[in-house]
Amino acid sequence: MRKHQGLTILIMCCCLGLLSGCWDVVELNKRAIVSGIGVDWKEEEKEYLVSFQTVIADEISGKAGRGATPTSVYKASGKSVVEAMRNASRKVPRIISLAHTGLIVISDRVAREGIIDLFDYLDRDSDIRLNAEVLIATQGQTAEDVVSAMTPIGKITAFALEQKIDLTSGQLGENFRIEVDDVIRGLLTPGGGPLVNGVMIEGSAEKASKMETLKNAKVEGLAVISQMAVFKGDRLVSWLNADESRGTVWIRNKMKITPIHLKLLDQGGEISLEVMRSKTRLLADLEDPANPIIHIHVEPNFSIREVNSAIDLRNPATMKLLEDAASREVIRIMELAVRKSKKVNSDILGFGQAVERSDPSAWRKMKNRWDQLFPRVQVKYHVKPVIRNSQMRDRSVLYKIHNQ
Amino acid sequence: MLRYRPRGRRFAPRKDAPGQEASRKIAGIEPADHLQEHLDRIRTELGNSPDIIFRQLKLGGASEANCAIVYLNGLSDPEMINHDVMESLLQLSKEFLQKERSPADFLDMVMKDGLAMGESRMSADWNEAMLAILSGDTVILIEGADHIIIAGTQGGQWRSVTEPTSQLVVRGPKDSFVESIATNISLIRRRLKSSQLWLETMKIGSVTHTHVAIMYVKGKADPGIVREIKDRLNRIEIEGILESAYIEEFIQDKTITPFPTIYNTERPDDATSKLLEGRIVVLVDGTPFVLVLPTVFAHFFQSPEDYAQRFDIAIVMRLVRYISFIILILGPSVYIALTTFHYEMVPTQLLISLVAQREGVPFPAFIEAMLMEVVFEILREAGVRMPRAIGQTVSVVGALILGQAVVEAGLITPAMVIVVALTGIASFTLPAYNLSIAGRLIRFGFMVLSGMFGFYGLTLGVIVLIAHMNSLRSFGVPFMSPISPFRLRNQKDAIIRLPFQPLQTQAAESSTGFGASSNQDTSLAGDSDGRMSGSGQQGADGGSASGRGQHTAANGAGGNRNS
Amino acid sequence: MEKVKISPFQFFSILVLFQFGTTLVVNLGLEAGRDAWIAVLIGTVIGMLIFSLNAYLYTAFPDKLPVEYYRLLLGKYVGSLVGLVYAVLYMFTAARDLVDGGLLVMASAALRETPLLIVNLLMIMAVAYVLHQGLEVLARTATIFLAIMFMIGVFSGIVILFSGIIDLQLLLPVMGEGFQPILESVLKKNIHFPFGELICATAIFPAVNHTKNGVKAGLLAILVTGVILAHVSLITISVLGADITERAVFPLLTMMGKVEISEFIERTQILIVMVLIIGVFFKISLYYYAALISSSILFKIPYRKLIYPYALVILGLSIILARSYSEHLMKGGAYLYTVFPFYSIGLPLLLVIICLIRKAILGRRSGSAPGPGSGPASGS
Repeated sequence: MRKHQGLTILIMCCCLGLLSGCWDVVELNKRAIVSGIGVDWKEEEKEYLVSFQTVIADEISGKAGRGATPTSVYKASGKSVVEAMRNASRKVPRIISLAHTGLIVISDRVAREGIIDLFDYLDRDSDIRLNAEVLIATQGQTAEDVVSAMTPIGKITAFALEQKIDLTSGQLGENFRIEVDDVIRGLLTPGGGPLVNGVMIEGSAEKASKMETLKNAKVEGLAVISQMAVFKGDRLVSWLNADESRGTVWIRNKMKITPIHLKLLDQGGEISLEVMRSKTRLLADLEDPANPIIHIHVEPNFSIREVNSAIDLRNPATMKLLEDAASREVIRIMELAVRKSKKVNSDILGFGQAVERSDPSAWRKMKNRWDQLFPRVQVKYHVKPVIRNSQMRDRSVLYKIHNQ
Repeated sequence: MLRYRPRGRRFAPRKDAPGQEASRKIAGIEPADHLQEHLDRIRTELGNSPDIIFRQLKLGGASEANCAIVYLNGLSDPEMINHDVMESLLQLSKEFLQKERSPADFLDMVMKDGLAMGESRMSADWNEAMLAILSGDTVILIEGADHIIIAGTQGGQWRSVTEPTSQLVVRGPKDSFVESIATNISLIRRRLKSSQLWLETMKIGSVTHTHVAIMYVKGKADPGIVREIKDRLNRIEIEGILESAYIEEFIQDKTITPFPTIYNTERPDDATSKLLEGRIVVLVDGTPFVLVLPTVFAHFFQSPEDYAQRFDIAIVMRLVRYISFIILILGPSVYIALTTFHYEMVPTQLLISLVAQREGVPFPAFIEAMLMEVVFEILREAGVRMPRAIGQTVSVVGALILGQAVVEAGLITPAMVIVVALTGIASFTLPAYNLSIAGRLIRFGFMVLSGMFGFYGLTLGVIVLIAHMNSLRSFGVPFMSPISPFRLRNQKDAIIRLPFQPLQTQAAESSTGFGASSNQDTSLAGDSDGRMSGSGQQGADGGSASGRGQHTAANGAGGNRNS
Repeated sequence: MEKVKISPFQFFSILVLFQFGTTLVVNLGLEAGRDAWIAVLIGTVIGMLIFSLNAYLYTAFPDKLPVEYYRLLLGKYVGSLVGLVYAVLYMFTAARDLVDGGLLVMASAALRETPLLIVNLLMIMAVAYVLHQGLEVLARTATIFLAIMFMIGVFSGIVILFSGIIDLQLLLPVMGEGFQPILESVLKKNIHFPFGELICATAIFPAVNHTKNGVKAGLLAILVTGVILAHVSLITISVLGADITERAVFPLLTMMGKVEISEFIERTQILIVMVLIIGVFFKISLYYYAALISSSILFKIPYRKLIYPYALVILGLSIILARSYSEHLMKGGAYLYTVFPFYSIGLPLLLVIICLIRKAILGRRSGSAPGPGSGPASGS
């Protein structure tokens, strides 16, 4: 009997559950899956203008496609992202679901105003994952333009942009993946700020958002990854140029592959190298606490890709020469980055962490003065380049021509 | 000598007074109506049934010693009755009737000298006689005697031993139990030639009087469990036993559970291997399914095939079965939970495709899943019950056309069809049908839980399910052992199957019986020789069949040749 | 009272799952910043010492429930009173953990609108059902779930490793802030949560079928849990960094959200949600059981008759206890280092001392009375 008693109560509870219904059930066709978010600033109202790039699943994999665009952008404004999202419910027939957001684009204007409130939301929200990619739209363009752009390869701009970042960080080395949590960690860096990849529309933003652009072989508007934006605290202070970006990537030890162009003054001609692999270590020397010295140790591996010179690549001496030239070039690139970061006085290069790692107690004392200390930091470069290979040939055709 | 008792349904001349010695005399003065009276009584009690055959014999014309045999046509073996009963009775009469004897002596004489039968006994019990007739035995009545002879002539038409239909293997013995308990016992005995294999029988069912036999290996089976089983069997009160499931329901540990706590099999090799593990087999007349107990959960995942394949392959096959069981129980509910609660857990590309599929589907995912599962169950049930000839049609119509149409009409998402089909197929991988039914039932519970609470309900459901399974016992043995309580020593054949070397208790697993090692020698050493000549192989088989001690000539020859 | 016996391994499983409940998922010892893992390890060692106190009492009275030896050591009335206090404490903590679990589950398992009452009801029903089946079933279920947890752990570990999100630089410098924050974290949190909570393990001690191995299993369970918890916090910090980890309600969940291997294995947080639910389940079960078994001795009522009334009480308490999560956490934090230590450390210590005195007196009186075993008496 006792066993039955337990069972009865259990069954009763099940019935209770059934009676009270299902609170949190949301069918998939009641959801609007957001793939990307664009955040702009409305000057007049002093409000955020948030654009949600929602996926029109029918157009992507359904049979019932109407030939419309695969994504659709809904805009709404509000004092906060949440408010904008709630306001958007007037326009979107379904629940805006952010869990699959892969991309967050912030306009230059918003970034200059400060992003801390925005990132508190992104960090706190239980739907948005920390894996979402963060981009800053170039000056003069809006985040809305970016999320509304069509992409010829792939269907969803947000995911295509994510792939573009991954690809270009691996192939060019002027960017590296910056996700929400990276930005948050950047915000917490004393005397520094986050580094965020930039994005811009190449060509006409107007045309980029139209389906017609996909009918042209020559795309008239395309979202492309640009250089990185530097923050000081939570405000955007400057944009890096190509070499500065590269130097920053290098110092942050994110370098994978990047091309390097050398002009050979002595032998004449030019040569293109490619970094195959590189390892960077930052060490801090705190002998004089007022003037910390940062040692940057870089060990890049090169591969020779293009030779427009008559040098003899079989000669070890030449190789030594090339390595020296390459190391000078690497130092030049990194110096650019250091100079820039000192100029905007934002420790985007991780010098502070290097100091903290080598002497935590000293760091505790200088942490608050790091703003003043950082521009005075001396940087020493130690590059140990290795030319690993010269691809499938050694001497170039020019060498043959010269020696005949 | 049994004394004559007037009361009760005793088999004796009715109207005679007790102690009347004259009644036992045959010498022509005996009233002839005794015999006739008994026959009439049998006829009336069985409702004048035309299939009862009464054959009256006059043993020697002169003496007029009347005799009758009664048997049930169809249940008895006519060959035996004609040759062994009638012929010997008639033969006996000529020399025997020289002298005059009392009917009792006569009966005795017939019993001792007259019948060329192995199985025959005397009885004075009317009920026993009736039961014997109904079981297919032949009853011999002799005028004036207070006993009858029951000659074992059971026979008639039984289904012959065929391939199993519900537990199939690719490699392994191809025989299966049949409806005859005697055949079934012989199938086991043939595999397990040991004096330690003990057999006990009883009759259960107040109307059907079904034979039930318990078999176990003395010394291996736990005597306590044997006693417990006998107790529980004796306590059964029911009119009829038509299938071993009736017994199963009576003797299982009383718990409300969808899980079968008694394993059944129709494979003699399976039953034999379980006997060797020290388990007890209950055979019931009239069904090819024998019960094996005590049962643990792992049994339902063991197929005899596992022992016929290499152990590594067997491990994978078993894992596939366990995974199938999990899919069977959790498949649709995980799908429901993922799509209606945890869309964030679905990979993006998959999610987009799922969203696209859901466009325009009128039902919520939970209802959709329920519908499809119910439809699937209907199809399955139809497929099983349908006459075999149109069963094919049902599966084609059901699986292909209905599935296709339902998706095309936009009633159900294709993904759901895939999930349901997957759970359906997963349910067929289990060697034990009754466990897969249990799984299918539980599946619905999980669907409700996940439909209401997502993974929270699902996880709690799994906890409760596992706790429930842990609370089950089969004859005092924890159902989940040896997984929980965990016994490392017994893991050799639970979730995985180790090679035979460490699996000693199972050494005689397959049909080779005790001759396993000698057989192995044959096949290893004299492979080509044995196979080609044929007689070598047979010799080895014969050797193992005739026991360990005796070496037949053929075996000796085979052995020599092989070595 | 039923005479169930569980093996040391089953005891081990229950304890490990009990300690994993909530602690594995919520942040642990993050007052110590990126050195949280050190705090956890130190907490483990101290936890083992505290456990030894209780283990000593257990070896002294191997087949007696705490309530029974309280009566023996403190006298009938005081002992019963202490037993009652413990029973109430256990029930209260069970309710607290139920709220904890309910809120955690609601936050992590996409149950936003479902009333807390229903979520808790479902949990308490499951617990009640399992306890109805008895301690043995609970223990055996624990072994199976320990295996499941182990598999989840191994899988998550591999996935995290291969997705390359671990950045060990984030762990450096070790003890940059000195030892102060670690000590603070240890004292305020790590000793008591989860190790001090093991006081309720005393209620299942008598059911363990091997005294010596039981104690060993208990100590091993603490050690294993401690090492795993430290390891988890190490990985979490090395993925998210100390700052995000510290602010995260479920660092482990957030961390698993970062896992992504070639766009195929991603979003594996569901495993963590399951770990959370399983852990909470066993945590509540053990407290609930401890409350039940103590009460059943105190009031001489069969244990099964108390299950459903107690379920209702715990459910009711859980609804009253906390109205919002932060309030709940605040209360919980204060409770952890104010009220709890008295019961988890103070009273056992007192009892051990009484027990030692008693032994000495008894020993002197009867000359060569056999001592209460050779348990690890290093507690004091």
